[in-house]
Amino acid sequence: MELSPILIVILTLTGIWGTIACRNLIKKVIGLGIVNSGVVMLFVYVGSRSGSHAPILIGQTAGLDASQIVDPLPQALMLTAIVVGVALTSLALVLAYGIHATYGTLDIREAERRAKEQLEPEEPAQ
Amino acid sequence: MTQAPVVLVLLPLVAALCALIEKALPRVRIARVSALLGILAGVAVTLLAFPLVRSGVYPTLVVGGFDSVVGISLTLDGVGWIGSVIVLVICLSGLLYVLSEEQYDALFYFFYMMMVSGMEGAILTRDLFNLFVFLEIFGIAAYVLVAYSRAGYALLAGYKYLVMSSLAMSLFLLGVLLIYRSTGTLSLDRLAEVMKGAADTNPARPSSPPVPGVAFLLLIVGIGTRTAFVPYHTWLPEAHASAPHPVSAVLSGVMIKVAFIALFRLLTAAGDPHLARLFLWIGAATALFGVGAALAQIDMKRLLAFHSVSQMGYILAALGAATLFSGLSGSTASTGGAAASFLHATSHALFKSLLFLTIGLVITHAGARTVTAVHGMGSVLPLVLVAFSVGALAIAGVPPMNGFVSKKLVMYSVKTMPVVYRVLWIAGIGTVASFLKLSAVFRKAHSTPGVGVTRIAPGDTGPELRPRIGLLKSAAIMLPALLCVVMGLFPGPLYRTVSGMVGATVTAGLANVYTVSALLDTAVVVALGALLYAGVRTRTGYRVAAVLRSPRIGFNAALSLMLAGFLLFAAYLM
Repeated sequence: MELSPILIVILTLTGIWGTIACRNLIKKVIGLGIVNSGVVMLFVYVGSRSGSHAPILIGQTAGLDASQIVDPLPQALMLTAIVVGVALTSLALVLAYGIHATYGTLDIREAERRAKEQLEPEEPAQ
Repeated sequence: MTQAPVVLVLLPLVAALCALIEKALPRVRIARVSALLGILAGVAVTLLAFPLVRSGVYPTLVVGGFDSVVGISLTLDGVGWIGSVIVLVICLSGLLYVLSEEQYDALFYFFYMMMVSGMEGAILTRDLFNLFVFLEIFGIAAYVLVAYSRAGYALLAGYKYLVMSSLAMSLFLLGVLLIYRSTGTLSLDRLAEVMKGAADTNPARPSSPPVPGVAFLLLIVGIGTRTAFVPYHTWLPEAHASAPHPVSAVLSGVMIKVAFIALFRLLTAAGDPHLARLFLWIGAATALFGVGAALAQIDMKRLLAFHSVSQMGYILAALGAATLFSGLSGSTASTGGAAASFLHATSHALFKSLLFLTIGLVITHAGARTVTAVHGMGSVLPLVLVAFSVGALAIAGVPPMNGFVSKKLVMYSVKTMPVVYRVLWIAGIGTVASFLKLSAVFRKAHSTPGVGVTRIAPGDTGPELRPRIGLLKSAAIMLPALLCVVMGLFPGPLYRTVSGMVGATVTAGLANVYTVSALLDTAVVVALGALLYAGVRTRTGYRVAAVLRSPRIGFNAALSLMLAGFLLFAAYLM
């Protein structure tokens, strides 16, 4: 029984939990980062199981059967996914900083309450 | 012409680069011109490709010259052509509005054109991972544009949209992994072959498909969060209400349609009637929920945003009906549904962006965004009143607008499902009522029972009693308004073209929707809508609306709802 996939799944679920349950804007972004890393690791893990040799066309792999060579595609995809993840994290932090600068809080509920007050002032009592 | 798909993605990208150059060198003022040229050139390329696409020869390009099995192919097929046209037309209309205002800097144009490029790519790509990349490209541009005003609520709306859809996109990636593991391909065409081959060779045991159903569900969470159907809709009202007006028009008009096209491609590739049937119910629930929530809103843009949710429900219900019977029988409903959903998607793109732009003008000139606080704008902005009327009649499904034609086709395609038909019919009544409510901003002030809000009368707007809205803004609202009317006046050719584009067979009886029974049905819906509006305006109606409006779902609850929705759909598929 391999331990790594179980650990990766637990890590991903932890990230999802953090994103959903934390009230702190920054912690939510950290949660997203963990989910993203979990998915990347899962891709790399699955990709690495497909063969035993590095996918380099020249040199020692020349005579090998295709099934013996590691499938390079998942790793290649993950390069892009990591780049996207970095862009998203930085943008999320910029937005969280802006929210803190405006409302003076990092608590999502408090920020939502302030935003509602700002956008829809209560109708005067009848 | 085979280069057309890649040209459509690259043109806005080049324009975005020009905007960046202006950002670096402020004296080189090329952002505006290049954005306009980029979109106009895209329109030209799309229109030039029409004869080719119509005859079934789809311009295809495999990027990098790889074999089509392993390479990423971009194809301008019929569905992609419709998508490309609505993206470019609505973005052109939004851009004209943007050009007329000075507050937008070069960075705005950069993100706007990145958004256009990402949407074009998401429509044209046939590769799952490439779809992920394009969804993220236009997503990131959209998060920035939603928060562009830097007001606190806009930043928060952008943040919530970002966190929610990134979480969904991570699940989308998991789905991509599952599909790649079980089929060894990322190409949607190849996936369709695998699924079809498995269904043909193994009809006796449909319970062991080559791809686990959960893989498609994971992909649907990712795409569904962008399409905004229940229960993934929670980000939409805030994001669409907080964005600058032209951006709202593009977000509501086409961005959710782009995700819908991706969903259509995915469902076609999956070829699973059971999965498609799910969308019949999701569509009905979305349509009813959206219109109910819209009716209770007092913020003009939130009201419109909830209508986008509701109209997506119609589109999805028709799509569910389309694929529901596919392969089982040659019933007219089966093929009519796909054409109806795309026709309604096109109609909705036009009239919803029109509504957002006109209401945007009203908000700008009145200086307030609450329905109850603004009155008498009809005499201040007569042209806006005309354009708004076109949009409002279209969304309410009143002839001779395009909304009437497409809504009738949607209703026809779900006719075999009485429950769904009734739900959509009732949602239609709510639509009429809520647009009567919204149109109050154009009518003269009158005493409304029970509400004592300061009203902004025409005289209060200062010296500008009759502000000039300018040529660019007039063009921005007249372009979709004219198209709404033209599409409504020629339902036959329109229906035949769209059917041909999505590969549906043409039913002769559907080419003309202006029948006596259809008109009578519309009259009944409008009358009931007026009745409902009268009910909403009573003191009790206001109280009910206030109660419905107050318990807004918190963000953490919204995220939990997203996961709960995924588990619910998984349980349905089991």
